[in-house]
Amino acid sequence: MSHAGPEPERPSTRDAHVPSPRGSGQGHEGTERLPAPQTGRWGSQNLPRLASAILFGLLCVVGFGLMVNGLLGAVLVFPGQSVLSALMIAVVGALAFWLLRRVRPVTPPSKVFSLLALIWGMTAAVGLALVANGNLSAVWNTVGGLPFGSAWGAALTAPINEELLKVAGIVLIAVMAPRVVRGPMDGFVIGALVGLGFQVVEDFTYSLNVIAMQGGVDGIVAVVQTFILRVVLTGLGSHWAMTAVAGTAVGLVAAASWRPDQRRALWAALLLLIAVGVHWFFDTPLLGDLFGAIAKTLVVFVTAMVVYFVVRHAYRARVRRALAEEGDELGLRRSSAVALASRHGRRRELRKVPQPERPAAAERQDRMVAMAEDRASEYRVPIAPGRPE
Amino acid sequence: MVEESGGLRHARPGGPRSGWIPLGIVAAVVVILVFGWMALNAVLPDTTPVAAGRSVTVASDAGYDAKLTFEEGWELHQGSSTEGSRYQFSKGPVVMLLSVVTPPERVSETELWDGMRNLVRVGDSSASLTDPQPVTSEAGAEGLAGTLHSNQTTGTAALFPSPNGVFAVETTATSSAGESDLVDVEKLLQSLRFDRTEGGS
Repeated sequence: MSHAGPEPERPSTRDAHVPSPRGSGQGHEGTERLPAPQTGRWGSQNLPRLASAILFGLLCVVGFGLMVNGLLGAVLVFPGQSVLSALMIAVVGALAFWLLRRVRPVTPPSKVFSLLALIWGMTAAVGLALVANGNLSAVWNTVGGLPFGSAWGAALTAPINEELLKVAGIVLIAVMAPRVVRGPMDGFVIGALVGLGFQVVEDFTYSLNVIAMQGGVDGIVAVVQTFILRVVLTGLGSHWAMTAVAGTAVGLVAAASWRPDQRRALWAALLLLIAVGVHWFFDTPLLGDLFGAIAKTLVVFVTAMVVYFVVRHAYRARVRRALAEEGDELGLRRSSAVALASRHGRRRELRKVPQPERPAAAERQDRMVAMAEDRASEYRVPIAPGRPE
Repeated sequence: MVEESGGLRHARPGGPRSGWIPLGIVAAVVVILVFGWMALNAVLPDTTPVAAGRSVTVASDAGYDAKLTFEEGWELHQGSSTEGSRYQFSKGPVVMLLSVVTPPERVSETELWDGMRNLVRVGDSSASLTDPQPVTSEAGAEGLAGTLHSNQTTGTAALFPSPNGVFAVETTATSSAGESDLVDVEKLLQSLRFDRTEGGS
């Protein structure tokens, strides 16, 4: 999984045009010449990006409509319970949103695309999954019989439909904004945010379903029970974790400009299969009691954490190397340059700068880190042989 | 450095297919998942006949099985049903929806009926239930029954709590050919019984 090799397969950019080294000392000299980082171009890629954005928006609108159509009746009949459920889930959702953006090392992901990822999960993925799940579940019931379909339908339906529909949003974001999904780390975080969006709406839907399953007699109890089960007990290993793993697969392929070599393609396929597999395990009727649910949650969570730490380790190593190269080019002390790879390190370096100069120094830091992340995304990304770049 | 940034992979112009391939895959996946399953479901048979005289266990919990015995002509809509919790049966123009509900604590029949009043409005905001009347099936199951009204149709509704109150069987039935056909539903519900099972409380 780790692709942070000691030497880049693609030529390093360290000999490119950079400001001449100047005197070192404060950890920021020379960086004032740094240009603004590349913010993406709309050249020949204009059309697919535009088409991606249109498809993204269209499917979000369609999904939202399908979701409202499925939920509005229950919301109107149980308004108080709906508001309570929405508030409880929203508080946890907001905290999770902050946390999942925070887990990206070096810098947080784009706010705009973080929100778009969340919105995709909340609208397009959920709405389209309602339709797809309904039909595929009916197919299992018909083909396998009602006992089989009722027992195994969820496990044979949701992992396929939901994971693929969530992944579709990550791919669309990666196409419309290539800088947002430059590699596995970005894929993990954007995937987690898509999954989080899906999860909060599914939890809300589930609370309304439980009200009906309990006969509509005490909706508040149903809402609280659902919150405890879906958020407190199993929230740690739910959609955000599954889609983070699937998003890592997208990041791997996107990092190779959608033309991965065989090894990378295999890793991506394996990660997608793992995401589908842990989702299947979560939905399977095996280990159907409460302790089973908690055990399944831990399996999903640990799987996501293993992927996260492997990807994080590789990404941080690349960024540190890129910063070291930049530091060499700009005449910075290597330790000062590499320290910029972490939020804590950047704060520490800033404290060395006189107070009046800190805003400008912080801006220089941001630009240097942005360029290091650009450079880091270039290391070891083999393109499938025989294909023109 | 500007020139260098321009050479970055994500900023470089891609090949003629770059961007279009993932976009095409996404579009294909969405179409397959949404319309493919829909088409597959559409070509499969929607219903399966329920054998006459067959006793079907529609719910099983806490030591009781709820069973219905069907006459000739009833069909089960498998795609719209989930074993043990939700069923759709039909006989000609008559459609009966059966739900198994499990209240969070033991509640009275009247409270269950009030809950059912809410639940019928979820699917049709114009739907309402009349005040219920006590009913007893031929097999001895006691419950409540009333009339279902909505802008579209008139039908019947009934609920039967399990003897220990852990769960209840709730039904609504409508007919596109008039209320006279609903007598088939009444006959079916007369067959409802709760059988003790081993290991129940």
